[in-house]
Amino acid sequence: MKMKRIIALFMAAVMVFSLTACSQETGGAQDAAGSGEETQSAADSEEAQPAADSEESTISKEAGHFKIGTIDMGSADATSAPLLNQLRTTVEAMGCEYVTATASEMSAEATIAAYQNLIAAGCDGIIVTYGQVNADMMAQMFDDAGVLWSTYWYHFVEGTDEYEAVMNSETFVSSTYEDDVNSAYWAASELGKKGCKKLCMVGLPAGGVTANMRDEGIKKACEEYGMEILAEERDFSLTISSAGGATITERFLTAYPECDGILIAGMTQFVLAGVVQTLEQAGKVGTIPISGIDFNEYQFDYFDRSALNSIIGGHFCGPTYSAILMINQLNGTPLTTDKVQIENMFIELNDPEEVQKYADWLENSGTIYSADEISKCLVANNPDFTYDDLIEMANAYCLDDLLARHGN
Amino acid sequence: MKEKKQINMKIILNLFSWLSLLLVIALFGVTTKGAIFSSYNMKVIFSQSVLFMIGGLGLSFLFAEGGFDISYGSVIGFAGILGTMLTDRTQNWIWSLIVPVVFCLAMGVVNGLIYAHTNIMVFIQTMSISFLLKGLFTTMLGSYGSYKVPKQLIFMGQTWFAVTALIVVGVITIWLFNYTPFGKHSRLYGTGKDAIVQSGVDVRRLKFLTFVFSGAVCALVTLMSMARAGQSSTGLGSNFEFNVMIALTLGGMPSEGGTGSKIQSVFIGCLIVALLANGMVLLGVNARLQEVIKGVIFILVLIFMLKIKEKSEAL
Repeated sequence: MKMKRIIALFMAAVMVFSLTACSQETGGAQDAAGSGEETQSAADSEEAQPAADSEESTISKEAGHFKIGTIDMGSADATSAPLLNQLRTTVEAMGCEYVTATASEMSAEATIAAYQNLIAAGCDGIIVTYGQVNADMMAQMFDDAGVLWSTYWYHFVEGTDEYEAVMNSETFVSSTYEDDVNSAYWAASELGKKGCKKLCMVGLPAGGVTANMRDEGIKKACEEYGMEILAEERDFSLTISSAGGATITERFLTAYPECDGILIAGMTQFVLAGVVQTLEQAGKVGTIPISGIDFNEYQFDYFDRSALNSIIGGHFCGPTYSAILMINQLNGTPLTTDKVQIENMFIELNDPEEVQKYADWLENSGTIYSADEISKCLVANNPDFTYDDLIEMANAYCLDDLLARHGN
Repeated sequence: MKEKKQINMKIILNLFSWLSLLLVIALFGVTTKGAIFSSYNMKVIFSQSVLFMIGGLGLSFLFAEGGFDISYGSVIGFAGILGTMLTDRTQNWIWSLIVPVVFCLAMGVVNGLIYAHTNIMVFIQTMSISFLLKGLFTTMLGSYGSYKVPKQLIFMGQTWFAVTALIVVGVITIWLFNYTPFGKHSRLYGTGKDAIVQSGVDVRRLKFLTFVFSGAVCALVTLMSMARAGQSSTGLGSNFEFNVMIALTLGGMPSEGGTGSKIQSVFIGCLIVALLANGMVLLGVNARLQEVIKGVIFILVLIFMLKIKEKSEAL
């Protein structure tokens, strides 16, 4: 009897393995329906081998049969989810297959493994979250495999070793970055305009390029508006959750009763709910305004409750611009032969009317760039599309641009 | 009859990990139409599993004793960051070599002394060390996101070095684990602590040496991890110990240690983990579903092994 149970358990394991295979088939069918093309799995396609192993150059492949891969960091927050959704829309609208690997722990080893697996899956181009692995190593890995790569949310500063490494990489296409100095300056300034003088801050872990740039912007705003940072919390184990946000705020309120403003310089998507809840419990909503960087799913509600004063985010489009460059290059119609860095714009929300407009857009459309708009960015479909058009598209991105294209 | 059934159960338990590995290979071999066996992919699978294999070999004695080192990844991170930071400050690459070796060995000694001379649960002990080191290296990084690994050490990230390191560590570990009193006592300690104490074994020495060996292997893993990433940052070594724990369990290592512990579990488990991750990407499985599938498999394996053990004990 017990042996039967054991066999049943083993059969269940087999079923899970079967699920693995079946899920791929279902996904493939959906992909095909979505793109109007017949798609194949990595294993089925001829491109299952990396380009380095194949004599066939990626450039010579027929348009519409490329695979574009990326890491899904496993977060469905208001910043990461729209970014990946838009990337998927872009890749599929341009007739390519979208492949993801997981590296939710984002360790150096998991990141390397995820990119290796994407290369092994036959990806022709990979959109990379730069950070855990050195640029030299990334360049070597992608150059050896002959796979194109682009980075997002990172600015390579000229004169640095990493800048040299990416620019010397034969397969590097582009990077997209944000103006983090100005985004942090804007967020902090909004508190300054409200008359705040003594701030408590939730920030990114010290040391990263983004954190350093944001610190620079905050410093500038503090000097301009005569503000002081009383305390800051950057512990990633706290800033990754709303419970952590509540803990941080409790500490701030206990240790610094004179605090008159809270600046969340990153991770707003995770901590805001906890920060607002604690302020409400302490009866401080409205008297201690909050300003944040990175959009939050419930930001409209917090604006309504007067808890949130201002927020800057919506920087979802970097991977999309990179994918447009990459796929055109793979098609043999590159928009530029240079390795480029494109600035990815933010959306600033502080005016109740604009906040409502953004909420309406999100509820009714939520489309940043539609499949139709993206398909026009493929030179094969639209021979008039140029690199300057792409830059114009990126520079135009703002709330008004969104509403003009997809508002009601 | 009873003995025969008991033997059958042991055979099933021993064969389970091998069957699991074969099942994974067969499944992905068929569904990917052989793509998983391409030379590039075989190299990828090896490079993704080799660090965990070496780390797992270092931790196998502690696992056999029924313990586990939660601080392993933090030690890797701290050692790497400290070494490369000193290199950055002094412009002398040798610090990136010496500091990880010395620090990992020192942490092995410190952990070993605590483990040998106190009754603190090893899980709690190493978790505390982990918090301490994570806090320290985050502070130490200061305004730097990462430190570059000097080019003199990059060879340690290459395949030939990984193969050599795996063979050397593998041979030493297999010998120590199977053919010396150190290995035998580690397994016996996992089976029954009181019995081994009463039999006159110097348990303090045994426990101390367990961590010293693990620390020595950790030094090698640190250098190889640094060379693979090309930089030391907060992501270096992150969650390393949990990946090893999952691999060892999938490979059939009993979670409570004991005489059922086998070195083969390290190799089989690491290969299963790497094959699962690799095969699912090759098949185009959605990244989030990949996590779900891995979780379900892990739970099923644990239940299966527990049931087999219960049945074996009941007979």
